[in-house]
Amino acid sequence: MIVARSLHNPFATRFTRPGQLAWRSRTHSPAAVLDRLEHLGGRGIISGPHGSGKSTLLHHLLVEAATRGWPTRFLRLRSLADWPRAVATVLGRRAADELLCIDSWEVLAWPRGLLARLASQRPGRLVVTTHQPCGCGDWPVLWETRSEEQQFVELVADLLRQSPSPPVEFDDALLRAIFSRHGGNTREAFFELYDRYERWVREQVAA
Amino acid sequence: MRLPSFFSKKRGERRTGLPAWGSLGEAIYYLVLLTAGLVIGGLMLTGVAVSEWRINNQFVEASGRLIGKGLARHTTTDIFGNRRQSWRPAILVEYQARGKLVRSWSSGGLAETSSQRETAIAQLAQWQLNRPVSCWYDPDNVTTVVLKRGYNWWLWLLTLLLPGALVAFGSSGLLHAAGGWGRSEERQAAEVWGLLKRLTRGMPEASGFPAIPACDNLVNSPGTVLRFRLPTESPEAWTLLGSGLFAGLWNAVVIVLAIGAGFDVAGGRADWWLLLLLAPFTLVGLLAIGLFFRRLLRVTAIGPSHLEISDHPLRPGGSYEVLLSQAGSVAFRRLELRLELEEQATFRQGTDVRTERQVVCSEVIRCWNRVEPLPGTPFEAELQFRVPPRAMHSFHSTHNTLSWQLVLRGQPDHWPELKRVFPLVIYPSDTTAAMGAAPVSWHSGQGAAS
Amino acid sequence: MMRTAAGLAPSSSPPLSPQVTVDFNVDDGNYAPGDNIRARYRVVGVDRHAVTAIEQSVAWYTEGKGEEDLGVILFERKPLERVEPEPASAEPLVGVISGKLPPSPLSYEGVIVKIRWCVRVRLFFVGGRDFVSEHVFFLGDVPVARPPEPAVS
Repeated sequence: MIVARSLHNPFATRFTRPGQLAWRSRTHSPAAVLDRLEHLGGRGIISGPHGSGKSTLLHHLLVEAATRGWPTRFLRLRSLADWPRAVATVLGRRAADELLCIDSWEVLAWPRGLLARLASQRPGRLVVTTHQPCGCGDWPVLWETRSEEQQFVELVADLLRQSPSPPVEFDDALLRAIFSRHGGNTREAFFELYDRYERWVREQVAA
Repeated sequence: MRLPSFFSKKRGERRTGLPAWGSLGEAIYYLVLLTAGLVIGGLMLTGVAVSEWRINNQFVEASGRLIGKGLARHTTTDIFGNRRQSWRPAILVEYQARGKLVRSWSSGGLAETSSQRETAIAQLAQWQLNRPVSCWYDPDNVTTVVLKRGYNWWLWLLTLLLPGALVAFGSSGLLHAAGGWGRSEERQAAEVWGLLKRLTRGMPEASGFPAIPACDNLVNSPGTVLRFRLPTESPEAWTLLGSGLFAGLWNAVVIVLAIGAGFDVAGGRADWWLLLLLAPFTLVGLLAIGLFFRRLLRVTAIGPSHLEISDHPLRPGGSYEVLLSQAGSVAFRRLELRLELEEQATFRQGTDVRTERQVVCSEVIRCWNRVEPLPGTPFEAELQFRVPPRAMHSFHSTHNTLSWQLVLRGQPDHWPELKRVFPLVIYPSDTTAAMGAAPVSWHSGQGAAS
Repeated sequence: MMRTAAGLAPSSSPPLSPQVTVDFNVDDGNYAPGDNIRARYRVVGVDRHAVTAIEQSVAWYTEGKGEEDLGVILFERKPLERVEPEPASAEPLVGVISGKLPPSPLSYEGVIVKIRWCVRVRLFFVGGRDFVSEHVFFLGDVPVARPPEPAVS
């Protein structure tokens, strides 16, 4: 029985994490979102359900901002223990044209509203991601992310195309069924595809 | 046999990323916290530690006489304008200091201060007038005298709590900011910063085997027959504890509510909402008690499982003896012992934390189809098993683990399925062990010459 | 935290099509624990003047359904003045990283957890961007994990 020693599963987290996926949307581009941020006064919330692309959009905003010549800063929050870092970052010295992006604002729990009010007094641009647009002071909703079926299908095609591993085709109907089963949570859908890919490759290689 | 790989070694993966920079502002913020902690701590220590040290080391002992008693009143006003008074017993002591007769009121410790005047008066009762007392006076100021010495450790703890927290936050944040400043992830993981992470890692590593968990906790219990007794990871123990805590807390709340409701009814002012709420709460409480006792009965009826092993840690290809002992009076329709390898992966994105487990190796060591233990005698079996020759070793990193374990599964009569897990650690094979661990080194060649 | 320097304009960006090739001192990159690894790398397709530093490392990382963990056993950062050849030269950038491989962790092809060993070459450019190239090799000879069939009770 011949087995493969190194199988890069195209749906492994290192390939699907925010920043690794291309931005696929028919309705808006990161440039358009940044333009809207300027229109809203430089403060904004990206809200949306789990796995809808909030963090991915945030990363693409950073790339777009860099091409515009804006200084950028990114902070990813993981737990309440990140409160001191959040305070230091939000209240720290910033340039007037700097874009500060904070992922997972909801992790800061209920006192985050106070921090948001303090942050509003600081110069620079600020974008945060959160599941619900509350606890963010008077910041407007910059964008509401929503997973789209066709977007998911295209992302899967991107991942399979970029992978050096054995090519596999997933039927579009199957992909749509997976997407629907997970309620539009792209991350969970990718996890299911991960499992399917592992099973498929082991069956193919062992055959 | 050489195994083919699905991509050439010359075809690497390429990424283009934005550089990672630390924040000067963030570092300054943590430096301020650290400095504030050190300054506040220093000030507090000098206010507490120095005075206590001087009392215990520099004050001069003298024989005195208690000639007067009184109360010192201290009044404070809080931010709402409320005035509070505290009382402290004061003792007038007469003693000889530098050839002179001195009379001075004693300096009482905070422990003697009371918000109740009667308590302070009661404390005075222990001091009798005209009785000789031992006292200690300050050689720099002979009118400062104390009647007790010693250290208030709890006062030190309170004193250092706030500055300690500031120092901890500030130093950890500063290290984090400095560690990530302008550094790639490889650089952060290497040398000093990798060492720092290893020092703060929860699970210790096996000596000489990076990323393999240490097995100290697995070899600290000697067996009665074989060399080691393995500890058990029993999910049912945690379930029992959890259900017990829930039942206890829930019923405590129900009792408090019931007492309150009872007083209300006795006082002729029944709260119907409370009474209505009590009914379902009481029902849940009774169910919780029932569930807890059922689980307790199951644990005691089935009895503990013990597993001893002839050697540890294990090696691929090695053969090992185990002694299984299953206590309890319950008969089993089926009982089996397996060697398993379980992968565990944790993914975190914001508030989403996802831990998944997958068993990738499961070999039956022995299976019994009917086990009926004799009264008062545990079921015992001596077995032998072999670790697969090319088995992967145990592995532990921050978010991913490979855990070997012996798993005892049983189907008892009249009870739900039993599962008890005995963790193991498997090292790489002996041929690799002989080479020892590679030291972290900085070797690099230069130049284009072949 | 990530931050870019201000003033970066597309026209001043370094070309982002560098190519890095790595040659290992054993066939197919199959090493045994304790072996000496010697990997020679070569970088082409990059403006030599735009490179400020090169980092070379030998590391293992995890891949699968969990977050990535990383362990580095050999690491060196070479600032501009130590990168060969000289700036005026048209020769491609080259370097060698060598050292002794540890006894663990071995390369592992699991289901939800995989352990990979690699040589990484990271180029840092003027303007603050970087580029990383990763080349996998194998440590040990652990077979691919296959989930067992569901047990029949």
